[in-house]
Amino acid sequence: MSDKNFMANEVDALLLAAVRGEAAHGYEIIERLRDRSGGAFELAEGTVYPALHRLERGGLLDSHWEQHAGRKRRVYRLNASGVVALEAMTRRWEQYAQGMRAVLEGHL
Amino acid sequence: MTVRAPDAIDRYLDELGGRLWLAPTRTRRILAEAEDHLREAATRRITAGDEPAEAQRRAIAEFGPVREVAGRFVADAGFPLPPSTLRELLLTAGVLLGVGFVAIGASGLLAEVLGRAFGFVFIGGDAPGITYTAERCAEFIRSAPVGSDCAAAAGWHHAGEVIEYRVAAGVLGLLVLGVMWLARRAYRGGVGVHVLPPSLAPAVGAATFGGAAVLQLLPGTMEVAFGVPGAGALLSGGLVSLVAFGWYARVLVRVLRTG
Repeated sequence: MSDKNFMANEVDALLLAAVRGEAAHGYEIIERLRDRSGGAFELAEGTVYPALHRLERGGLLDSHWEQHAGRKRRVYRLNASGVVALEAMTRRWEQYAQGMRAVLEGHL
Repeated sequence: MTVRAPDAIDRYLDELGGRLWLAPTRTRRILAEAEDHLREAATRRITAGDEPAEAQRRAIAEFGPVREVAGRFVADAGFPLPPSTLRELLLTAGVLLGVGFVAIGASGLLAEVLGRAFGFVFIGGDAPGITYTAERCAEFIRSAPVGSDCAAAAGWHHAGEVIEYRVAAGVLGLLVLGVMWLARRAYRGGVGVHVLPPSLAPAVGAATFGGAAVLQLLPGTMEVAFGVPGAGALLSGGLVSLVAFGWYARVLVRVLRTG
C-alpha cells in the first residue's frame, strides 16, 4: 500500500504521532512513518513539509533550527495542544476503524 | 576557497525557489528544509552504494516534481499572493502602465514630426469618401492655417487632436512613473528586494509592445502603400512600439542569460 495519496485526511494524525515523544526533522519523520508502518505509509516526501508547516501554524507543533553537517535543519516537536489534538484524532480514528470492522465483519 | 559547481539538487532548489511566490522569509525556510532533506536522502543512498549522481536523482524523484511541491506550499499559504509579492506586482504593473503612457506620448511627438515632414493629412486625414457639412468645413478652415482646402483643414484639426491627446497621455505616464519611483523607494527603503521573477516585467513589456507594434505597423504600412490619409497616426504608434519592444526584448534576453 504505497499509494502516495493514501489517507490524505489522516496525514495530520500520522505526522503528529511521528513526533510524539521525540522531536524529529522532516526526513526523519518520513522515515519513522515508513518504518513504523512496515512500509505501508510512503508519503510523497516533498508534500510532507507543507503539512508540517500547516500543523505548526495551527499551534500543534513547535519547531526550531539546528545545525547538521553544515546545514540548517528544522526540527519539529509535538506541543501540549498537539498532544490534545492527537488524542482526539486517535479517538476519532478508533471509532471509524471500529465501525468499519463491524460492518466488514457483519456484526453491526 | 573552492566553489562547488551546482549539482542536480542545486538546480532543483533553484527551480523550486522560482515557483514559490511566497514571502521571502517563508521561501528561505522552505528551501533550507528541502535542501537538508534532499542532501540527507542523497547521502544515505550513497552510503547504501548508489553513485552520487544517481543518489541525487532518486532523492529528487522521491521528493516530488517541483510543480507539485511548490503548488502544495503556495496553495497552503491561503491567499495566493503575500503582501510583499502583491506590492511588487502592483509596482511592476504601475511602471509598465507608466511606460505605456510615455510611449503613447512619444508617438504623439513622432506624429508631430511626421506631420511637419509629410503634412498633417498624413497624420489626421479622414478616409477617402468622408464628407463634411458646410458648417463643419468652415469650422475646420477657421482653425487651420492651411488655406481653404476642407480635407486638409480637417486633417490638420484631427492631427492636432491625435498629437495633443497622445502628448497628454505621455505627461500622465511621466506622473505615473514618478509616483511608482517614490512608491518603490518607500517600499524598498533603499534596499533592492525582488520577490517576482526578474524576467516578468521585460517579458510582459516585450509581449505588449511587440503586439502593439504588429497591430499598428501592419495596417499602417498598408495604408501608406495605398496612399490612405491618416496612415501616420498608426505608423507613429507602431514605430514607437517597435522601439519599446526592442528595448524590453534586449532586457529580457540579458535577464534570461544571466539567470
